[in-house]
Amino acid sequence: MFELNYKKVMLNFRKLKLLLLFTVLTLFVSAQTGDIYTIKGHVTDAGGTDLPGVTIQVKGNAQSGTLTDIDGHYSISVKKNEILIFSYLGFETHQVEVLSNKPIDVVLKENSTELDEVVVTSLNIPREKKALGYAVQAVSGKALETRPTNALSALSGKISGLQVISSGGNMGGSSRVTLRGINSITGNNQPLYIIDGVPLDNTDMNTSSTINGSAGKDVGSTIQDINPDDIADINVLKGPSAAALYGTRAANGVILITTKKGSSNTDRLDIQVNTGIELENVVRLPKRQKLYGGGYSTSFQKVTIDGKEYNVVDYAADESWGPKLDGTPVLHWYNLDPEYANDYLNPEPWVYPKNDVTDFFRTGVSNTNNIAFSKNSSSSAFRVSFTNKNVKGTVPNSSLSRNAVNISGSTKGDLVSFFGNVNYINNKSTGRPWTGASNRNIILEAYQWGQVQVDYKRLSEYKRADGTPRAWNRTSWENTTAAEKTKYIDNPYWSAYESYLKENRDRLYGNIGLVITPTKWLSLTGRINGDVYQYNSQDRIAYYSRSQSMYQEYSQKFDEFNYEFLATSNNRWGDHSLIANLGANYMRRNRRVSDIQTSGGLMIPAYYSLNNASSVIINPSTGLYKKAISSVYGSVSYGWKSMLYLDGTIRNDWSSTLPTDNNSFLYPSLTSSFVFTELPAFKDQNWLSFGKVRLGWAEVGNDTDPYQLYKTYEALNAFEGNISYTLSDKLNNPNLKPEITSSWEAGLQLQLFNNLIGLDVTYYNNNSRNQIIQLPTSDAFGYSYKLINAGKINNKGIEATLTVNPIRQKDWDWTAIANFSKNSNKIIKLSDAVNTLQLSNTLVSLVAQEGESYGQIKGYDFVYAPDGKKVVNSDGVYMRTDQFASLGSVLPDFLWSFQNQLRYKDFTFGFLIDSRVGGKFFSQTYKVGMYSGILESTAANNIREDGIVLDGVTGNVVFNADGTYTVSNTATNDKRVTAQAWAQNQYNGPTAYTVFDATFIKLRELTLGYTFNLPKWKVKSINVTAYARNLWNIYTKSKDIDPELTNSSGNVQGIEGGNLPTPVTYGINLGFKF
Amino acid sequence: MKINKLYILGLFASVLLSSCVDDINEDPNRPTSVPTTSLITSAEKLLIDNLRSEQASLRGSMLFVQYFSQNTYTTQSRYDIPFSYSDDYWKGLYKTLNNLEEVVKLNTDPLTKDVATANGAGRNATQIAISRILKSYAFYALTDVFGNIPYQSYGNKDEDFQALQQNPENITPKYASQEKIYADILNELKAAGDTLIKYQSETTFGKADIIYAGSNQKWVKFANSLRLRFSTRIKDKNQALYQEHFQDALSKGVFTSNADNAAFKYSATSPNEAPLYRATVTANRKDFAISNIFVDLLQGKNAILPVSDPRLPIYALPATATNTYVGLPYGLANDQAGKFAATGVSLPGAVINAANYAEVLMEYAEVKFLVSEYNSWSQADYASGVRASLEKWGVSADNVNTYLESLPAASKENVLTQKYIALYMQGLESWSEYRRTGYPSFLVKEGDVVFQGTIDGAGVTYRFDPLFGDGGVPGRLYYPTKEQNVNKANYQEALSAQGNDKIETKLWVFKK
Repeated sequence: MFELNYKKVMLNFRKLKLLLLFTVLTLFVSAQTGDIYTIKGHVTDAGGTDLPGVTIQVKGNAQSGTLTDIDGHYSISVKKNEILIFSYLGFETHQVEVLSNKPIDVVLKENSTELDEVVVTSLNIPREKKALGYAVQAVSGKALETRPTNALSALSGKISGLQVISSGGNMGGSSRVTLRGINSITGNNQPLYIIDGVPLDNTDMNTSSTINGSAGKDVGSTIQDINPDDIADINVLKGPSAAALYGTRAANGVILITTKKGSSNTDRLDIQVNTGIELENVVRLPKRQKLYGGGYSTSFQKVTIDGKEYNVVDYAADESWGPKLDGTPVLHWYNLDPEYANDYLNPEPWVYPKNDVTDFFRTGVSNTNNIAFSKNSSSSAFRVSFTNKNVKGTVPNSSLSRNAVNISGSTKGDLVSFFGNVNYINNKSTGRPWTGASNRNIILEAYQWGQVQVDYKRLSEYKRADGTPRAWNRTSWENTTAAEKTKYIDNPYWSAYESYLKENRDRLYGNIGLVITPTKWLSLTGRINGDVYQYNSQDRIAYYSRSQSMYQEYSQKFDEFNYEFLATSNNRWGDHSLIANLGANYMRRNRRVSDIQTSGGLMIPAYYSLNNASSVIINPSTGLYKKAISSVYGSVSYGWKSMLYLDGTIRNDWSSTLPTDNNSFLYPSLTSSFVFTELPAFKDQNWLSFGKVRLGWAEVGNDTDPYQLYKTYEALNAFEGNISYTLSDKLNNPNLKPEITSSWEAGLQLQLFNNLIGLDVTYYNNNSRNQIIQLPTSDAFGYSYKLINAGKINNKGIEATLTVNPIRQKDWDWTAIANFSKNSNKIIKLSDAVNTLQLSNTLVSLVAQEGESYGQIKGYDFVYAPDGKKVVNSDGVYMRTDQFASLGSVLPDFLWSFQNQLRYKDFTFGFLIDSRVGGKFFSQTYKVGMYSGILESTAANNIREDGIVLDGVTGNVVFNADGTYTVSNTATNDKRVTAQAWAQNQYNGPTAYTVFDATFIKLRELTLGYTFNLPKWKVKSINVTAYARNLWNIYTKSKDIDPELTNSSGNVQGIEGGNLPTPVTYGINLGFKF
Repeated sequence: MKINKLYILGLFASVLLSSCVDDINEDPNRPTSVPTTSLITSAEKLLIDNLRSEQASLRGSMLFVQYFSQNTYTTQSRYDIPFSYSDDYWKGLYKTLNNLEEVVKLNTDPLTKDVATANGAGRNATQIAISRILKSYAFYALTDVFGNIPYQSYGNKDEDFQALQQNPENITPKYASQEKIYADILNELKAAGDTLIKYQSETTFGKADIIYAGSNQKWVKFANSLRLRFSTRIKDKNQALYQEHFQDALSKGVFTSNADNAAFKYSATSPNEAPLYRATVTANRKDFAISNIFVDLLQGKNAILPVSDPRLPIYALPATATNTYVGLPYGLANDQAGKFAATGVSLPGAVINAANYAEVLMEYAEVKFLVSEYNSWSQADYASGVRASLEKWGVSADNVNTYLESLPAASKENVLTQKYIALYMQGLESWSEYRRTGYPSFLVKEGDVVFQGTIDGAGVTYRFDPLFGDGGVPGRLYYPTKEQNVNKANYQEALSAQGNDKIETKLWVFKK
């Protein structure tokens, strides 16, 4: 059902860009008998759009025929009573008998099968899908109707082989998208995004500590600037074969986004209004225990104040191993402030609070309004769209606002046509949630550490009149400044309202160009694509906070321009067709970073400026980064009948980032497609409507980041007037070579039983060679990393999409789509010197090891006796191995999804189930939450009262230098240990305790829509769609921590460091068409 | 003909296109050459930053020898040492070494050696010599913590010495034995001192040398004094080497007063403040109290040294609640430590907690104690050592004399106990000497009572219960986990040479 929309856009697209030219094959058949008419006419689609290039033939006379011109007009000579056949890709064939010489205008009806679908391929060249020798999958803009802040998170489950790991949340955090697994070990693995021909920058703005999960705030990557309301459709070119022409950045596939253009050719102004509101709730938080309060020991301290004895809490403790929550009257932290007379020295019961941490979260609300005007005439098209989005986040004081304007237009002439497209986006956010070991992260404040009895309603009065914070985690009970000081954990409301991040990004991207068509078979296109943004953020830690107060100003000024030239010729002789392209591109990119922060604390409270400190630190990333790539490329596509297609491409790049004598790299691709159902043998089969095999091979080269070749020194802060430089941690390499990914793929596409069942299967095998890797070395080498060309990574896998369309009636339509993908990844070779590459070593070790798959979690395992029982040590808790063991790969075994679309008259109903099977993750929240007695299991089953005897054996263990061990003399363990000893063993004992299976099945989306068609009204139609995202975790293997999380869009995955879980979202959209 | 034209056109295009991308890959943000003085400033700072880091020192050796006691998150005082401590310490010191090696290279390479001497940076030879002394110090800081380590020597191309090998590259260096490392450090220090002594009146690096402001003469004394330290360490293993280096060093000149002390004075300006200041004031924490073991000793409550020590008010602050000196029982569990408020115990003294505290690499007092040991625990050297320490800390002359009068006579235990008191804040050397000698003899071990008294109306007895190790003071730290990931074969070879990667494994130099 989305093709409708899709094709319209494609049509315009073709007309506007004039990339398809037609050779008129008209053969004037001289009259033999009867009247000969010259019939003229106009061919359009149902929406009135001109259809250029429609084939018009005279039935029974294969030699005759013509094509409609660019405006959909045609002229043909026929005899009376002959039948004209109008055929056009993607439309049903139409026949008309010629009765008179009156003009015959034809409206072609769109074909509902996807056999003849047109997809956009490299360099924005539209091609029939059946001609392609590689896997391409399309989704329409309708798939984005749930309008997530980060448009790409809506792709999850809709494309086979595409994995989206989304941090969730309405504030537009990271979304990591990978196609066909991981090709580059330490480089970028995300696909290239092309929006209307503009390559869009997708820099991960996060710091490395955010990426490693140790601390930070997820500001996301810049692709979230794409406005879902302007997207007409998305084409996913999955492998290098599809993307070879795009060059270096396309080795991981390409996501081609086409924005909406003006639609119908009626000369009237089309107006569309979309408005939506969305609610978001934080769910799937780890479960906290409710039986024991804060403290390190189970008894209260007693103090005498003004002659009266009170029970006081161990306020300074940020753990929950304290006394049982039995209602004993105690002085809570808020009973110690004389300013609050009602509460002061007024003991209250020691109980689990009415308002626990879940009260901290509020319902996030976002509303999105979009209005679009478009107008088309026969020679020009114009569209303006404006979108405003306001988000109130789920944590206090968090908000985001976005305004997006999209303007596109074109005019066409006989010789020269112009087109242009400009997008302006402004993104502003305040108080983005924090991740990891940051004092400002609520997950750390309440799920990793903290006291469970703390009442959040009480906490919300977070500040005294003098500006100091009221902290539950105060240093001690006395009524003095020192005692009132926050010990470890700031009041979360203080963090939210006083110590927050503000961001602003202004972005402008678009293109402008012209097309010259000197002859019918040739077009020359010149265009300039630009992407410019300015990102600023200001971070602050307020005076009186637990950590030293601080103010930081970060800015990034980015611009990328691509100057592109493309010559296209399009010819057809009888059964043969040939499209040839020759192009050149020059890309230049500048990035200027400035990152400055105060040092030594702020001087004046509540004043945020770099001036408000005794000194500032200029962080080392500050500076200018330039890069340029020159490219030339060409492609040839040959087609024979509608049966056999052969494509070849070749591209050469020159990159500024590589050594001058080695900066040129050439890479070809060759693909073919064979529609075997066109063979006579298959022609009469009823069950097989369509069948095609495809085979492709491609190479794509890649370069690296600027300034990776020569040795440089890094500045440190001057010491007492002495300038101070050091060698960097990374050894650069003047002999770098470009890296090459080569790929084979083979596919089969079948349509069975008159398109009842469709199957598309692809097998691929990618090898990446000469990878430019930042190889972690033994620090004893002097450098911690060395840049090398090494490694061979293999990815092979299967992607399959099964589409079933069992009901296709006027009132009823039901389509079900199942996607499946399995990717297996193997590191074949790293380097001669080392076979293990360390990806992260902050919270847990994550490595890529020769002979294994990428992303192995390494850590201390349990020690197992020969009978498979775990060995406990003399303290009665589990022993850990002496050396690291592999604890599993973070990569999934396979992904599957199941999508359903049901239509009954004007009702639509759809749902999407999305699942990941296999793969592991490490959870820091679990690890710390156990240590501190926060998580539910630390107080379950009477463990705190009775302790626990661990299931295992005692024994003599001898560890050998090679990491092996022997266990002898085993006996069943009978030592009872305290809950605390047991929980803390999970923190400092075997790492395997904190590694979980990431398998899940989730109900990802639910949509219900109804369209009111109001033909007599000013408003032509009103569409109402209600939807929900991430509604239900049907199954998760890990019970304590939601498995679906990410810290970044980077390569370090499978590490949970304290993230907000994916929220549940409910929304309703109203669309008006005028 | 046509082909030729195309070829020429192609060639032309290729030249044009590649020239479009040339010359923009030069990093405008970072210099490709810097003066050696700027490297020596950063290397000295890196060395001390790592040596005295919160992790390795304040949460490591300062606890192991029970100067400090943690009053919260007490797990490190109970020997649960996070792996990241090793990773960071190891990485930081090898980075220091790489920068020092860079100074050596810039003074050796014919293309750069002349430039390296410009602007009063001093001779190539003396720059190299000072770098060798600092490198020796960094390697000592590594080997005493881990045992066998990758090592590199300026003067000895032993094939076991594979660290910092960049030409040809070796990214998986093997671990050298401690025996070889100690012998080579002694030779390196001797060679460096012998070079510097020739140019005693000159200066090197000028004020960029934070430790000695460029005085070659002081560097000579430092090198020779360090030879006393390291040769003493191996005296039971190689008496001949001990004698040879000790005598030679003494004859060439060692520290003769506190003015010779090697110390790195931090800055009062952020972000260059001293590590303890950053861990307490900047980080706004009070994790480190002075341990009861140490306070009791300084108060004269320990039978071994029943004299009250005038250094106590310098080493520690009185507890704010009582204005008396109260040591925090060493090695309590979290719930036990929670009973002792930070206001009720002594925290580090103002001098040592100052932003511009001068961290000591070696001082005159230690030299005197080493000489006393060399002279069979001679009384005079012992007394001079104690005096030197008291004077260094600014104790008044009267108090110095009073203390010296009541000092018990020199003996192995008394000398080493005094050395222990003098080495306060030099956690690593104090821990090393404890492992070598077993003194001070009163550090608590597993099962010892660390507190007995009444808390919240109930009588309690707290015993020391370490979480890892064999119950005694750790013998070493774990190797960095990164080594297991990237240098596994050599890591495992080191384990087979020296023992399991556990904290209780005894290192060669400390084995009896």
